[in-house]
Amino acid sequence: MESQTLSASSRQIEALLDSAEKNPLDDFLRQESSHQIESRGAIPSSYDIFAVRRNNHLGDEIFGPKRLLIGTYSEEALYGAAGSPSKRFRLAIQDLKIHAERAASVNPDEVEYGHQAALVWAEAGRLKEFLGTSPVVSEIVAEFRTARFQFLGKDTPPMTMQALSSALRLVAEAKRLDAPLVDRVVETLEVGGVDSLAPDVLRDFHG
Amino acid sequence: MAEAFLDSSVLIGLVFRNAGEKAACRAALPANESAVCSRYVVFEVARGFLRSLIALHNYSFEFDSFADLHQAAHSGQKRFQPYAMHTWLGAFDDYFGVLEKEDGVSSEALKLEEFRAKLRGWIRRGWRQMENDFSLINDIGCREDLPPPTARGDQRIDQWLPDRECGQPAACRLQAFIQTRKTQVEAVAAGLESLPDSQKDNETKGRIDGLRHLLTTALGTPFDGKKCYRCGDALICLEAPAGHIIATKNRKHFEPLATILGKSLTVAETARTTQAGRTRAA
Repeated sequence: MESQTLSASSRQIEALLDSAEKNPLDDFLRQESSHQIESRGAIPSSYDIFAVRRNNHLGDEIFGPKRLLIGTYSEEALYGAAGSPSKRFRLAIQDLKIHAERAASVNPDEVEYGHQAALVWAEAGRLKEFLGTSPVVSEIVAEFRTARFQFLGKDTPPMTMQALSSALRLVAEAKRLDAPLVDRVVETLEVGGVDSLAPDVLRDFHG
Repeated sequence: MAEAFLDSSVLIGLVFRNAGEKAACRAALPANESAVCSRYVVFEVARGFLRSLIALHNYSFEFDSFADLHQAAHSGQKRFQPYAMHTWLGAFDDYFGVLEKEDGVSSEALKLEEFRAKLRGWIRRGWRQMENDFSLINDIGCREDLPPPTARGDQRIDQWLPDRECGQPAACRLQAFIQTRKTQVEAVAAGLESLPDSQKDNETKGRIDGLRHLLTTALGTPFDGKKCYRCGDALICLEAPAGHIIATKNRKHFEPLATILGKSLTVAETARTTQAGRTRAA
């Protein structure tokens, strides 16, 4: 290997790929594998994990993460390595619920309320990474994103923050993530003035 | 105060439209009164507006990205035209644009997933609301056994509709309804016929033709079910119980009918209310 002719970035990437330690590139590759699995149908797939460095002077070279040997991996193996997306979703909901409850407990006349509300909405927006995890999770995420859409650039009324907390609690405490749960989430958000059909407002500009 | 009897445009407004539109529909209804609707109106929504949402949901599976679906809807394909389906896609394009500014870019595949997720919930909850939130009468004798829309194993949504049995005496009691109100039905047909030509659009002409067809079909003889659909607004006005106010967004077609039948009308003033001229999609 004539690594002295490689760029600094390439050398860094190769070092990370060769590293036995956990690192962000390794995490990224695992997450990508997990996403590929989630977006497939029920037929089991296998995945070849490797990275190809392409360099006009040195030619191509294949690298594989040290802890996942180059080769073909079953869905099961990769799923186990990446962690259940549903479990990660529940953890994210649990965190968000705690933050929403904290925000809801603050006096809405204080600056802290607006500050906490802004943080909660930003966190709700990040739930989009779970779209596609399952049809039900997609519906739940879509509803929280619609709520976020409605209160962008606006004050969040305390009743809305309360409703958001209650809706998050429903999801956090649910034994099963199913359609009736989504419908209860929507009803709970509606009490706080959230309109599941808010995107419909924009239709009038396209009629 | 009298209760309201909902036509399909107000039922759609209350169940499938945004909060502002819902509020405008509610404002047209008598305060503190429950609303009445009918199996006929529910069936009309099921085979029309709701069917278009289900179709749009299912078309989405033919595409890998939201952008491709949106492009197809604007490519002149006829299947996207009923109920202005493309307007949902334009609205969601704007919606995703707003959210992307805050939360970062979403892939086109995930946008499609989110779009489908929203439609799925609206379809499921909308059906449940139509079935549960209003008192449903059935003087016309329309079908009462419509199953809810359900997701199949391949994630497509389907709802079995008995539209092939429309007009079959064993499954439809419309003829008996027409017979018991024959004088009124004749008055409606004659009244619409006597309107000035400027008020007789194609929909009204179709309604007159449909009513005449139903009036001349002998009891117990099968008739063309599509004729029933063409009479929709007239049948809804005829079915509205005495003492009830008919609630509609379709002033253009309901005003003459209510006048002929001597029934009260309340018009919900919304962005999609018809005035003297055009009819807009719900």
